[in-house]
Amino acid sequence: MRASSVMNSSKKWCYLWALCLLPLGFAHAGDERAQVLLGKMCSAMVDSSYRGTLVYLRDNKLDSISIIKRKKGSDNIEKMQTLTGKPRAVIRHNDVVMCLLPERQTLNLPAGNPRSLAIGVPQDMAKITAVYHLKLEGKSRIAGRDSRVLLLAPKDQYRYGYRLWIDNKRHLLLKNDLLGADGKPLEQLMFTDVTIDNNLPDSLFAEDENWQPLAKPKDHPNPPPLHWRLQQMPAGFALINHDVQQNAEHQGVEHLFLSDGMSAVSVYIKPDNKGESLQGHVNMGAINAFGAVRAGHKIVAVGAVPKATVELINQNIVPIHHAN
Amino acid sequence: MTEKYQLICDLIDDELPEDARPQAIKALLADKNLQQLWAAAYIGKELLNNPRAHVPSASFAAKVSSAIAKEPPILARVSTPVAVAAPPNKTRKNNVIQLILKPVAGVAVAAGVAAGVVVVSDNIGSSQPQVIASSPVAAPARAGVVNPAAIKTVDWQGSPAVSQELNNMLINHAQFANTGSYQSLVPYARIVSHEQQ
Repeated sequence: MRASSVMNSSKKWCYLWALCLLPLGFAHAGDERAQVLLGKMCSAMVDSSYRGTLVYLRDNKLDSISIIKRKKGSDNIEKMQTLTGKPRAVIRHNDVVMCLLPERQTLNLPAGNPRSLAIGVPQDMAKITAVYHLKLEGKSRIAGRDSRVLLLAPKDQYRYGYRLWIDNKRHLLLKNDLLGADGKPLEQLMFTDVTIDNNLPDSLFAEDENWQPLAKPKDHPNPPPLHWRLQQMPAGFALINHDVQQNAEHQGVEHLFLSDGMSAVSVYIKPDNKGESLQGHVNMGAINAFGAVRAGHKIVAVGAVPKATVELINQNIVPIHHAN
Repeated sequence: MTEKYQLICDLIDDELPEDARPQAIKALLADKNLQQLWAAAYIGKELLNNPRAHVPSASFAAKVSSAIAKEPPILARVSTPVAVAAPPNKTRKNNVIQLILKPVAGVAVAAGVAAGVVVVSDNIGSSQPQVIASSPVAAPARAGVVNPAAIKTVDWQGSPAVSQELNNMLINHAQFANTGSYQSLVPYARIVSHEQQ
């Protein structure tokens, strides 16, 4: 048998192998397209300037919310304001968050430092694909715009799923469904109209004395010692931030912030001052919280994750035994 | 078929003699089956040369993904390590192996089945948390008609003091939850909506 003949035969078989595996290759390509789309969406949501109206559905309740967002250089500002009921609003200007919430009398946890805490989608795509299946589900039309539908299905019971409708042209997130274990939406956020607008004036973002600052970025030249640690957490979650906040009573509240790239959980730990405290589980729509009192401290884990997640995280908070 | 397939392979690889090409191309243009064969072989070659290549036809990919998701769990038992090093003359063979194993690993993931419970530690020192590898569950089914009323909710409001504390935590948490990424929409929507109650 001639060498060329052997080579040709080998080549043919290679092609046939590849041909047999073609469907799986398509599946891989689909995964990659889903990841690329998710990455583009995350970038677009940060880099775009737009105005629009959102509807937010949860707990048999529907709210209409106006949103304006402007990105000018490194300056990023967005404002959300309810259009139904009493006016309530949130402005986020870079790291500073301001609220207009008429019923709120006191803010007990005012001084978080969320700087540089962007969870990092799409940089952390590998982490996301480790705990979610990404799947493109076809096309749809939201707020008059053509969109692609992207499903993020959780690989375990410690996180919700997401179904995202992403604008074909601008890659804006047009609709976001948070999915429970049965695949049904726990809450839905959807644009009813959205317009790209790079000329939003400052006046639209104006605030007055009624606005209350929620976050004043601050550095700790001498950060207070941490007294608690997390000994276990669900797969895919990482400890993003761990610091001590000061509440209105000048009480130190230890805060741990965890995320898997899509879902996030906060744990708050403060001394038990014998006041009322949450013990056990409560939920509000997709938000779950689990509270416990241990070693003379109140420990509460809260986040838009399933009940099992906040419970597991809470139960794995343990004191650090310092050498001294 | 084999003769024609060989012809197609040679044409794709630019190994057909100059004088044989016009006839091969003429035959290709005249025969739909041959065109399909050419297209399939061409894509097969592309996949061999670049296993991560983007291939056309999203609808086909979607159908395949759907079929893969329905595969029985038995496929997920594969956790075979792929050969790390190989002599250069085995490159093509390894490409084929990778083509086989990588998608099968993908199938394992898509089927949502674990080979076992694994505890992974990425600790540096004992104060770092461990990661619990959890038991995967089936991927959620496609959402049907929107029905927020179906959501069972225990009232967030216990006592006013506890409720106030939870609300403050929720707001504080929202500041950290995905600043700079798309979810900044969602936590703030929750705040302004929740405060309506």
